[in-house]
Amino acid sequence: MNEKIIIFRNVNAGYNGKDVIEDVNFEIEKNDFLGIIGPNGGGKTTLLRLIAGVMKPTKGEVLVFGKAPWNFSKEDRHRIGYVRQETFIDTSFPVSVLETVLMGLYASIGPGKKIAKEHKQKAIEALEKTGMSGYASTHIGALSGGQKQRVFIARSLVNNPELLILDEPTTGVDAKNQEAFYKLLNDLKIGLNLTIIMVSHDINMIAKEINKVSCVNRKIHVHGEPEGILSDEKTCEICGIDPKYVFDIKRHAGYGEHKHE
Amino acid sequence: MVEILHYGFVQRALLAGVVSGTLLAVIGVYVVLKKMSFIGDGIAHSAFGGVALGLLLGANTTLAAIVFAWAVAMMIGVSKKASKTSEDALIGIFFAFTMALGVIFIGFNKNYNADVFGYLFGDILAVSESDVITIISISVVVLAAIYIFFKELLFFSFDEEGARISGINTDFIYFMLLTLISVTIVASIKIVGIILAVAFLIIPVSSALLMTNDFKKLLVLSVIISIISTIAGFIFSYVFNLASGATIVVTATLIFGALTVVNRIFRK
Repeated sequence: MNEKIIIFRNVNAGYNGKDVIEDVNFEIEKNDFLGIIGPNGGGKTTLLRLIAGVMKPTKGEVLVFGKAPWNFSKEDRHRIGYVRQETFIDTSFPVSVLETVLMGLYASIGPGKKIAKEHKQKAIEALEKTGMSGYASTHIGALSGGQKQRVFIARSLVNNPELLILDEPTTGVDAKNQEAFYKLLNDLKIGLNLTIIMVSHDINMIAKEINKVSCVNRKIHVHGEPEGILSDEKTCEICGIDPKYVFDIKRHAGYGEHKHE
Repeated sequence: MVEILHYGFVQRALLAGVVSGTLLAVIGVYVVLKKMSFIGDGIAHSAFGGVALGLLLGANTTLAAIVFAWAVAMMIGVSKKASKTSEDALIGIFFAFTMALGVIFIGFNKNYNADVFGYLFGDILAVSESDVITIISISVVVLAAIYIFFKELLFFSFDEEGARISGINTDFIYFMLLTLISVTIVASIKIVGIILAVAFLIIPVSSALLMTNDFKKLLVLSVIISIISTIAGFIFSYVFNLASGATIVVTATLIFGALTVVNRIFRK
């Protein structure tokens, strides 16, 4: 059994006095590739924001690397890389790809200090890991959705994190590039010894990459190996997956015999 | 025409115009990119309450305006984070409240004061030596803050949540930016006036955005366009005996219009 790097105990959390998730208990081990699924408004992004320390629970305990993430020091923060949907960011902003990745280092460089050659080198190396080093001087807005997401992943990798959190990273990425994107994540997971948590609606796509799945719909309804979960129609309904796609999910992921002949 | 440059009031006007134009352009980059133009407008109008109070009490109007503008900026910032009311509604409320207070203070003032028009619409020709020193002092402080927190302001403006997650204290950056906007606007009131100050935050930057996708170039071009607009606008206002602040803003707008047309032609 691997080290437990994320622990949720009896967690409630929400916004404006209203809890979105309640009684959440689960653990994530080192090197897991966890897919979080569930209907819209079910609390998936809330879970990620709690792990990233962007918000606190109203009840219960959240531990990431043994500490409450909202109390992280700068060094602790660098252990987590967080990639949101690129559509949330105004990419008409006048910055280049390299400048975008360099932003991941600003907190560690500190105010009043200039960006040094070594920082630029780190940023270039991060872009190389995601196949985007050839676009370093390109304006961020000139890229496709998939390319932008690779740049934001590079930004999250620049501090050599141990945990990578992605919130619906393939929104805005065309279907052709989504599979390549998930393969990139798996390669990064193996190559950089990462733990990855990803919220995605593309359960069909991620089924073969993940080793664990959590279904969140106000509570954690299931958490475990994907095969058993994704082949159960009732569970799929609770998780917001149309059961008629269960056949495709199983076939795509290579899970045993398919249900419908 | 050249002989007017020998006059002290013209030298002061040009110096104050160039310095405040530079300051407005630099701060304007963050205001425009972070989509804070309405906040800028709200802060500018709130300075009127401070000016009116300063005139009523016979106090330093610049200091009174800074305190008022800064207090309103802080209330907007705190309310944005703590209130259920939408941000633009809050700005509108503070904007109207402080303007109304200003009108009431003016009404209490038994002495007629023609300065009020100058504060509202700018009077570059009335800039005194102490005004120039004030503008330069404020500029040094604001530009030093921008230099020190350049990276943090950039990240905050581009991706606030990403900056916060990475460990940057975005609350501090936000409230610092609001403070810088407040003092910048007050520093510029004598030049372009309260009503038109936000126009000068926005227009040169919008012109520069038509010309570049690079942040540092945007800063430089915004400053250049702002200075050109200020000097050209001042000259036009002097030659044609027009209100200086308004003429500077019209000049800046015409430059924006011309660059928009040129941009469209070259894009084809």
